[in-house]
Amino acid sequence: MKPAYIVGGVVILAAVVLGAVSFANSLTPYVSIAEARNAGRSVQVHGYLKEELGYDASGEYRFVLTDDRGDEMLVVYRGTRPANFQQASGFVAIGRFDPEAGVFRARKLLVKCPSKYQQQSEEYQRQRATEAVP
Amino acid sequence: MSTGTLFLAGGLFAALGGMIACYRVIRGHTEALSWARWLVWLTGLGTLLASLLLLALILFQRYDIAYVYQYTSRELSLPLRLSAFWAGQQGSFLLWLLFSAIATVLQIRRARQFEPYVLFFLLLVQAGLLLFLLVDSPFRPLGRAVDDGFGLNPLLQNPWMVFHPPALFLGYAGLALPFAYALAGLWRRDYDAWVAPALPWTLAGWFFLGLGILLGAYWAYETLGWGGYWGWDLVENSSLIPWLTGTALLHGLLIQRYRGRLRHGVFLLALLTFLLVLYATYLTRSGVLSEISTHSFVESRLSPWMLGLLGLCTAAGVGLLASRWGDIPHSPVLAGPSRTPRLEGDLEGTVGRAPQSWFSRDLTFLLTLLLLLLMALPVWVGTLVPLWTRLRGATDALDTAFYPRTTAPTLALLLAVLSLCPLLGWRGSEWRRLRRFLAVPASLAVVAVVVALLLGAHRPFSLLLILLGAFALSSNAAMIVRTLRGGILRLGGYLAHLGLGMLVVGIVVSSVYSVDGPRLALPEGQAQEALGYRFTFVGWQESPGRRPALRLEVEQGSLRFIALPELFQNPQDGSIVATPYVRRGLGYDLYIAAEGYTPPAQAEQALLVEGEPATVAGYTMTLRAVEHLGPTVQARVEYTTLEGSRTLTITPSVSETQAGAVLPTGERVFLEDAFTLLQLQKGHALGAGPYTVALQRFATMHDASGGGVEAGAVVSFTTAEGTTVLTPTLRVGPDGGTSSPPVSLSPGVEVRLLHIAVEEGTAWLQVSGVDLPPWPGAVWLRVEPQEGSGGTAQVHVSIKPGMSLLWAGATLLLGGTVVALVRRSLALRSDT
Repeated sequence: MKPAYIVGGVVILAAVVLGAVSFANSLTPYVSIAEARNAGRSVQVHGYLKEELGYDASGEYRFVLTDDRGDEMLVVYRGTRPANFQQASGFVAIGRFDPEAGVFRARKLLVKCPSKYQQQSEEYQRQRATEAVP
Repeated sequence: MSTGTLFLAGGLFAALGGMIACYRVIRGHTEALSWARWLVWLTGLGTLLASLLLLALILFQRYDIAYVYQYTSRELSLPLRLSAFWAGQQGSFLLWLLFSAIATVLQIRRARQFEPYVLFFLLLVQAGLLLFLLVDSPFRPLGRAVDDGFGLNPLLQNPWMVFHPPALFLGYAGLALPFAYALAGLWRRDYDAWVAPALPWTLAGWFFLGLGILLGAYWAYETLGWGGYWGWDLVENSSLIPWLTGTALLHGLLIQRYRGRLRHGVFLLALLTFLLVLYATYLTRSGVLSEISTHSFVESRLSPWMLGLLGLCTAAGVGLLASRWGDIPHSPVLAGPSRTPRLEGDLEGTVGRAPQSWFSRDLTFLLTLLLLLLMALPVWVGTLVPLWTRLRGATDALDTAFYPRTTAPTLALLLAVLSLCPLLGWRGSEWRRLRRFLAVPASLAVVAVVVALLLGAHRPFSLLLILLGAFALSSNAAMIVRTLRGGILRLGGYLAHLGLGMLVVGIVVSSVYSVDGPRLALPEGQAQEALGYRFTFVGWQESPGRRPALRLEVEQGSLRFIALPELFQNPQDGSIVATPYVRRGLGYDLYIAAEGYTPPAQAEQALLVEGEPATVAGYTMTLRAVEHLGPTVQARVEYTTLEGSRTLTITPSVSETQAGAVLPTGERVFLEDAFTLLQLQKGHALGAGPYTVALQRFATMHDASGGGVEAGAVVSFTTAEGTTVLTPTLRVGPDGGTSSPPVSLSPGVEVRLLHIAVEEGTAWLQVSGVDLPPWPGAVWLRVEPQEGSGGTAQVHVSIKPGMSLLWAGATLLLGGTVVALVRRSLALRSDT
């Protein structure tokens, strides 16, 4: 057996196993608020900002998330409030529901803002221009 | 058909014609070669003219062209105006096409026996890009007359962002060459000679792609204010994947060029890298991810065309490689000394020269390739997840923690190999000298770990990465010292590897050991301490031509500086942009991001009605009496504090310096107006003093001048002498401000409309200048905030260690490549 094959085989095997395990652990399903409460694992919840409660004493950011079905959930996020939070068309909170505290502990917030790095389409601008006239 | 479209269409026809001519040359009609060359020039000319035209349209501010309108405006400075060329999708494709055209023209004659083949595939790519530009043209007219453009996104108005796209596209254009040369080699069954001319182009493409990624990361760190430089976003990842496989390709080309090994693998890598470039373009530009990624591009109609080019190139690559697979000579990998006696420079020798040595250079190269591919693999899998879920209609998404979790162990192994690299120039018999040589780097690596431990690093895996990174860094540094006499051109690889070691240490330290400080709410003028610094908010800074920022005074011992974290609203999409202030240091960066600003409190008006409690300035206040003392008037107001209720006598403000009535929290209260409040109900006449007052009807609402709304109440005042009908109005301006212009009832008596509720049929009237028993008196109070109370700044401070190592490492990594590029280009020239 050549050293190359031994080393290569071991490395590939280890990488594939590690990759597959990590992949299974990292794949978080998109769920509704109702499902997130009972998921018992890391999930992603798509929703809209209902109300901002601001930072609490421990520096965690709190807000109320609502989804298409009208459910509501208190979300706690340890991190900086995303800058374009208010303007976001919606966002995704990634984390897990803490049944004891009754809050969703978000590890990450993805702000849905398709136009962030791209100019808005003209159609959108025109629409905005017409909206401004009452 | 517009002139621009004409240039593009001409280019496309020339490219397609050129491909036919190249094909004829390949089929043996050598006379077609001059045709092929002319058509390559013509394709390049069409591209060049289209580019110049777009540039001219931008410079001459032709806002009737949609692209110019969307990405520029009158206020842009000249350099930024030029950069708008590639601010949008179509312009960036045109730039890529221009770079490709230049690279293609440079292959004429120089590619020698590969010329028709290489030109064929390069023209294929150009034809694809030209088609994209014809489908979605940058020359499309806007279709309406405008005087000014929409403007360039302020986030992109940054020097790093200006050069980020051109660097990426230079990289994309460069990496098309190893693809074309590999296919040429396969087609010609010339399995070795293609490597030499492909090598410098690969180095150049790899360098520019890496530079583009680095500029993007630096921009994110410096501009976006979220505190990081790499978010494992799909857009970032899609450019990282070809860079990683490109790194593997680079090492593969070296091993094949100088050892004649691994032919199959190198072909595969050359094809794979460029296909991944096309795949990245598809992911980021087709809009396929616009639903998923936070920063993707808008949906585009190019999607099927992009898939078409990707499919065509994949088919060409896979088809040619498969048909030649058995034909490519197999020189046994990792067996015995090199087939080619030709040994060059730093690639000489194997330790022990034993056929099955564990420390041969071949083995380390092979491991490097393998590890790089294994790093690229999970990142690539990650990009598939959204595509897959989109197809399936499912909604799974991948947590970004997946990427560091899977790539970090591979990276550790890669560093281990990298640390062994410099050893390979040594013969097995010289172990004693080797040991002496390695003593210094090894002890430096241990010192680095001890320092990291003392500074608070404790995670074993991070310490391992720091150890390996530092060892790779120092052993390569030692090799540089040792090789210095051989000339600077030989140092490229060592420099790059030293940079990589430094980069990894920087990444580990900055991502694992950054200190997230507290969120500070800084009232103007009051200092607060955090992270060993003293922060004082001096004021809100807003001056024309500059972005609004918080002005902070930062002190640490004798060190004092002004920090200006910016905070502004992006006028294009309304988002808040918080560009941080970064105080760079050798050991760590102090990162100050603005999170918000509360302007100083404004004077406010409050209405108090006799006997009715109301909240004013945070207190519950009740108006007890309005007293007329000759010409002056004063109000007695009762309010409650924790100690009990107090009474305040409030007088009108007569002079600027007058103190007025002062609340315990420092606010000053003045009497603005004293009057009688009449609360009228439709259909109920009321007695008020000498009058019988009745609300007759509401005047129809209508638009007041300037976009506001005006509403009126028709009220009759009846006395024994007769009836007066007045229509006081309430105006709501377009900005939401209200005004109630006075209407005269009798000399000295004025009526204003304070409040109106049409559905309930009620209206409130303010009658000044006369007492109207039994109606209660009322007052307007003006509450002024405490003297000198300013705004409050909200900032988030954090400490980012190792950032200088990270940037320096990345710069060395790319700088080493430049040295290598010069060396390989010179070698190629001396060969000819």
